[in-house]
Amino acid sequence: MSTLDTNARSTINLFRSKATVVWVFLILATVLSWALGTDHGFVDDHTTASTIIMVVAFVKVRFVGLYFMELNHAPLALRLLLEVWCLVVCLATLGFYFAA
Amino acid sequence: MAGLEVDLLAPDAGEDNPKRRVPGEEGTWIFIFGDMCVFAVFFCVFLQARISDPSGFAADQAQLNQNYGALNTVLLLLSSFLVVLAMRSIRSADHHSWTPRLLIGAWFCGAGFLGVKVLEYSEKISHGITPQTSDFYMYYFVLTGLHAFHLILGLIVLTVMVLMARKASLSRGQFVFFEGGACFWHMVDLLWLVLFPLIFLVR
Amino acid sequence: MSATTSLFSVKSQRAILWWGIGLAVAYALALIFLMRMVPPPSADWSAESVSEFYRDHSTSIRWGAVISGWTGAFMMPILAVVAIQMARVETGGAKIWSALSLVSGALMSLFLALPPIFWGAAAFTADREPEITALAHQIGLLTLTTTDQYYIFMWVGVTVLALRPATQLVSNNPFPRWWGYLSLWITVMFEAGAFAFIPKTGPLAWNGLLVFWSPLTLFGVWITIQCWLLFRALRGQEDDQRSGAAKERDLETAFL
Repeated sequence: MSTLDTNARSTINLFRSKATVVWVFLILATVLSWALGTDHGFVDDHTTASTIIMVVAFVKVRFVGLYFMELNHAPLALRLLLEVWCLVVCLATLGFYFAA
Repeated sequence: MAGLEVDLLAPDAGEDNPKRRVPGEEGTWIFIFGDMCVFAVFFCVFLQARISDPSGFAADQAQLNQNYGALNTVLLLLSSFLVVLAMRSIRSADHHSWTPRLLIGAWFCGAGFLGVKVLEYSEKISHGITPQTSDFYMYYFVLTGLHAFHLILGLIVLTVMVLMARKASLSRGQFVFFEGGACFWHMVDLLWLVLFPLIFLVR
Repeated sequence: MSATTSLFSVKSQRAILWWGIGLAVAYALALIFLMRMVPPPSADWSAESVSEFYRDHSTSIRWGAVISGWTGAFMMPILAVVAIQMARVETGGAKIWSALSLVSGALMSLFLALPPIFWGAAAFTADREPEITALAHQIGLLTLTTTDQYYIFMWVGVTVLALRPATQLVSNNPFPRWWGYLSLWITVMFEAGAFAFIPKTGPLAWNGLLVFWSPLTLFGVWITIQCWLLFRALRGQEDDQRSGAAKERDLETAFL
């Protein structure tokens, strides 16, 4: 009985990390983007919806980098590389998007 | 528990510990950021091509099946999460035996992604849509194809990781490769997180 | 290990490397300024436009072909040195990865030397039928861009040796681990080349991002960094050689 308890507790330990919270957020964000992108109608304006979708995408990327790739514990240079990539690519894609 | 080792390797154990370390080898990050920069250029090239013909791009995009793309996003996110769990389990003394199973789960999610991709491509081709159909479809096939190619490389890396995880213990060098492999798989996921909205959703 | 290579060998390797670099620079300049292939004319030009291009630049393209004729095999001397250094660190048994890189260097030279010949032939009698000139032009550009696949043998060899733990134990090793990862990445990036037969525009056309610009840049980057690593390693090997020789002299005098 007590070994069972330990097993159960240690299994929960496997999931007990920020990564799990991040994953739930990523799934919810995906559902949001999908709903926005397929006319499920809570934002009528395409441009607004697309802007939200793109910003959400790069926020997701940042979270994958920080919590899945564990760059939040990496040396500052490596972490900055990710942050700068997200920021620059997000701005560049938005720029090209609005140029159309 | 193997206190010292966990302290060094597990990020959560070190959350209040200011010690910072590079996940995987430095070299893997050349590979990962190199790829990310190439894809970044492609995101811009795709959107730049869209400038000359936004309505054509929108019309072609409307023919895509967003549900396939969304399903694939969920598959890759699930797969990435299983790799995160595998990483946590290989670091803990209690769950070492879970690692191969978690990785195999991740592998099948990745293979599922490819399956959906094949379905998607064959649907398009059966409707007579090829890379030559239009600029949009050229970029659609090139970008998703390039990504699928990276995913296949990632599946090979995952296979190697499964074989490594079955061993009783890993050497320092093997462990670092293991970590680098996990990061490569996350990169495959991360690139899709941008590609999916860009190609399927943004109008 | 370094005891088996004499000072003559180290100096020869350095000289041959400079020889290769000199040829590479001349080839690149001819490609850019005389043959005007960087950036290459678009793949969807009509035969008439291509013909006009060769009529307008007939002399410069033919002189470009002359210079390329002298310099096109620049990867042979470079890869000879790379392969010798690979063999140096490839300890134990057959030097198979070094041999693979050496033959890859010879093979890729063929595909670097041929395109200028085709362009030179196109310019040779530029006032012929446009269709014929266009064909020679296309064969030239497709030979240059779709043969990327023959370069990767070299990089796979370098990657394997750089990532092999035993290599890092050899002193003055010109193949550090990070170099293995970079070479592997370049290998992956080169895979796109063969697609150039399919589209006439976009990233996979012969003047496209994936087929032309990324291989050209990465090839240049690879040669530059590899040569720098080689020079650094050769310098170290030379120093070892000198101090080793000095030690031997000391020993000899001690016995006298």
